[in-house]
Amino acid sequence: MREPQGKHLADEVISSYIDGALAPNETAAVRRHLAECGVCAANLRTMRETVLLLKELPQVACPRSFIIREADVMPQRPRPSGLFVFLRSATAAVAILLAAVLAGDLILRQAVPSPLAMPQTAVVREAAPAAPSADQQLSVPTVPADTGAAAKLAAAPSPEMTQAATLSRAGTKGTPPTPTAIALPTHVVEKAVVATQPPAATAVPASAQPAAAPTLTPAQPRTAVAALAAPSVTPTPAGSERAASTELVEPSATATSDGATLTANAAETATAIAELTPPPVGFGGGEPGAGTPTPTPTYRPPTATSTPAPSATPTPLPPTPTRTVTATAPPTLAPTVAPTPTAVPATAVAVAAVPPPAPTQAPADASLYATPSPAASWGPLFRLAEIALLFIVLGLGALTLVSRPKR
Amino acid sequence: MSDVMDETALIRAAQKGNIASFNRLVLNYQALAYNVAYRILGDSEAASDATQDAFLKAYKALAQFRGGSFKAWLMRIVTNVCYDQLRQRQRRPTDSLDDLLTDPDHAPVLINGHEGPEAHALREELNRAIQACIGTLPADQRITLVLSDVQGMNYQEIADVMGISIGTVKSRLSRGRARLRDALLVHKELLPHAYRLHSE
Repeated sequence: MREPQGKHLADEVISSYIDGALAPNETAAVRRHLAECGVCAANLRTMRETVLLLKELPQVACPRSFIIREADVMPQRPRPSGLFVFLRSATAAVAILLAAVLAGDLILRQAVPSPLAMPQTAVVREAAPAAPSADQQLSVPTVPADTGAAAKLAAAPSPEMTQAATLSRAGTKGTPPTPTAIALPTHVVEKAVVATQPPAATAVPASAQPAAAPTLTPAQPRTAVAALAAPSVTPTPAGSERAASTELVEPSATATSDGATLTANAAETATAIAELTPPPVGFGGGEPGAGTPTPTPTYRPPTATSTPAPSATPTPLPPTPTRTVTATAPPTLAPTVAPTPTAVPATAVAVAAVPPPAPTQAPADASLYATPSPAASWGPLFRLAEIALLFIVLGLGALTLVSRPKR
Repeated sequence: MSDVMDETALIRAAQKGNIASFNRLVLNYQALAYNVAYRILGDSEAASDATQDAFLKAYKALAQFRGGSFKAWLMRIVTNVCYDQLRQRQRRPTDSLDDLLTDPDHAPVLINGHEGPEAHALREELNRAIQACIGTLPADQRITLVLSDVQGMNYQEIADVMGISIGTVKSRLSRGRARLRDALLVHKELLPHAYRLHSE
């Protein structure tokens, strides 16, 4: 091969010469050079064979059709992310829960009555129990024997005895009224207790116990009692007889000295009791002192000078058990008790009329809500739940909007 | 002329949203598009994906076609897709010829019903060797070479497709051809005897 003199042809010139892309003068020059340069001629040959090999490469068959579908070219919504789906579901769930809480709160408000209607009942309930306690203290000095006559009457009731028992009860020294109606002053109670105790030196065999009998004049009591008693019972002079069937208690001569003091005390008690106790029904009319028995004798409260009639008991009675009386009245009642006997009844009535206040009176506000209804306690919880759920819904909603997929 | 008019009508209809008209264009150009993709990528599966993607992009960008060579416009889309795939695969400019020759995906079905079995076998061996050597070229030289020597496009069309000047086309083409020649001379044992390059 002849070695070319000078430069060899560039591959681009050869390539263009192969493609016929050179100008006519360039083509002639290349031809002259190729005639003289073996290297370039070889390059031209190999390059031309390469191009031929590429042109002879066969066409490759399509493995499939490449036509497009509408689903491939339609604008698709971006798939929501998992976080967006979760936030959207959570927001919906919390919103539903909030609606349920609101509905429950509304239903509860309509079903439960207002707690403001409760307090009156509570106040009354709290006030009521206190009343008996004060009366109980005062009513403690129950004379157990209640004079022997009262005990006997209780054992053998009869119409006359019943009337007499009622009368004796009314006039009996120290006999307490019904606990719920009467509240006796302290000193009266004490005197009543003392009066019920049998005199120590009494030698009277039968009537050892000065009964808390109404203070009657020697003549009057018997007359009154005889009128009350069975027609067969005739009045007997004082001190010499005993009314076996009556409940009157005649004072013995030997007991006069002690009985005088007792009498005074008993008189006070009797006066108080008489004032407080309404006269028994059925006893009315008949002047005291009348010798004839009347169906409805009038009961006159005994005076302070009248001597009590000691109770006459055919059989000895067991000693009267002594009972300790609480001398101290409730503090609230002390100021209301007047020292004078005459003022006692009125004061006692006044005291009895006024229900004792509760020893521990709670403030008004506290009593109003002493017993709140269980449903009312749920109200604040519902409020709190509503507020909390509202904030949660707003927060989740904001996060959902932020994580929304962009279109 | 009638074909051109038909093609123009189809393009207009497709631009109006007529997918059926566009699919007719797809049928006309899918072979070309697939072969270009195959020769550039050297893999049938990759070529199918690139071709399908190219047609979808072409339909979506059809409103931007202002006339001219629809072929060139479509091929530009195909080559750009191939460029993207080459970058994603990070394929080296020169692949191993042995890997290319042993890869079964590099044995496409050739269309040649006139050859006998022996000729067909020789052809298959040659094609695998050439394709392997093409795979060793840089992307720009490879595309230029395929468009010019494989698909028969002229310099202007190649310039339009690749968006470069004619001088660039000549330069890339000459370098590609020279490089491919050198690869075939170095591995001439891969070529059939009859097709071996003769050197002086």
